Amino acid sequence: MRRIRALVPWTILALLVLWPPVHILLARHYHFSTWRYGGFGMYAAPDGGEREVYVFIQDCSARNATEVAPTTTKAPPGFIYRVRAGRADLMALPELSSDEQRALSSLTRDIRSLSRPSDFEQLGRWIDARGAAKGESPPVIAVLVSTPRLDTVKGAAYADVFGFLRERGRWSSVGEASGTSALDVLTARLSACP
Amino acid sequence: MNPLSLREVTNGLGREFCAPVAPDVAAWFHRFFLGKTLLLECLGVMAARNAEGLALARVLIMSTALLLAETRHFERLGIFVFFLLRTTDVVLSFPYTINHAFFECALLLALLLSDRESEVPQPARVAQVGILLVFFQAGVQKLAHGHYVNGEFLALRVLFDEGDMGRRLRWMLEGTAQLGGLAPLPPLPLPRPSFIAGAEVSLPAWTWSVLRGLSNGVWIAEMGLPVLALHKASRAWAAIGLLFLESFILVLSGETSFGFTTVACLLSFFPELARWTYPAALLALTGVVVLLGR
Repeated sequence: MRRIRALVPWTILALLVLWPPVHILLARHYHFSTWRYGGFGMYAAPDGGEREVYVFIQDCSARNATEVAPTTTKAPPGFIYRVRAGRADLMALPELSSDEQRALSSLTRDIRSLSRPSDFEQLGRWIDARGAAKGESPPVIAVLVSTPRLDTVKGAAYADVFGFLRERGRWSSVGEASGTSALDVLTARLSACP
Repeated sequence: MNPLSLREVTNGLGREFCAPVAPDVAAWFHRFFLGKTLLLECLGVMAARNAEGLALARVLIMSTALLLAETRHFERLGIFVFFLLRTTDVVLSFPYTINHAFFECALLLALLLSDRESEVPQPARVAQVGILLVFFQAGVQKLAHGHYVNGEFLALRVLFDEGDMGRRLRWMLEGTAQLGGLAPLPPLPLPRPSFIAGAEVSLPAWTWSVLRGLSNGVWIAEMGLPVLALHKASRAWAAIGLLFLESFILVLSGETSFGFTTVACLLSFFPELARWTYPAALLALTGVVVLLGR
């Protein structure tokens, strides 16, 4: 017991020394919010609540690109933009029930803050379940997550974006990009309709 | 500094770290830390319109535990109850746990397992070194993630944040504009643009400079003051600086729970004043919590 007592203070301090630098590397690599997992990165970068999630579902019968946000930005060719989940808002699909809206809100909250592979898989399952009810097969899905940025010299808002693509049931990264053309850079990596 | 004197310094720091803290400080730290947990719990229950039975039970259990922690025989039992409740909070809120909850759990564990008869560092020492590390690491995080050097994190709050932090920053800037006869701020907050598509934003030129200066000041102070606290000659001034920094952060962000924990740790750097500073800080912080409506 005495030995444990002696170790506790040193362990606490060792964790305070070692964990935050590791946390910085992990947050960068796995894209989770700097506010999570006890790395003392609160207020170091915008929290997950300020990120936005864009979900694109491939629909090769779609003729017109859908508008992503109240801008001129369009969904990639062959994809339908389905939902944008921002801070507290959820521009939900009109046919969603309130239960489905809540489930989607919770899923996108996890993706925005934590971005774990399991969160993307869950979102994929949620979309599949909705499609299955209409007799549709699992579609190709792309999920892009954007973090707000500001160029304080030029006075310009832009975004850091990373994304994942699900094809044939497997999720893979489409990489990351920064700037106002980030969406175009990443969506160019999505597979086109045959 | 030659290698020999460096060794002397590090040896000195090690000896100092293991040396006992004045009993007065240890007792007040312990009392303040447990007391603030109970106080914030009580305020939370009072603020909730329909307090649940569980919340009331927690207050009752914490009150009993606080009384037990003041007795000689049941001190550890009282602390154990606080540790158990805080750990439960951490587990239940994970992975959305607020960062300082982990630190508070660690401090409670240090309090619980403290052994006053050995040379093991005491909880107040862990709190002292721990809080310096917390500030330093928070500064490193701000620097590493790249949202502070150009002032963009605070600028985003000023431009688009409808919450308390954005409001207080705008209030501060508007006050600066009035006092200094500077160009006034446009109507804020702006509706959030689509960052993914890009948008232009504008603020008076002086505002960008102030925000850049403030942002850089925060991470430099967070990293610099703990380093100054390593040396005995500058320690008290560094602790005072950190108390000012924490007060600024507390008022700006409204992070009251972390504010209490930080103040509890920082006041232990002034052992001879403990019996005055801890009760005064408890009163002052309670006032701030009530004023901020937290």
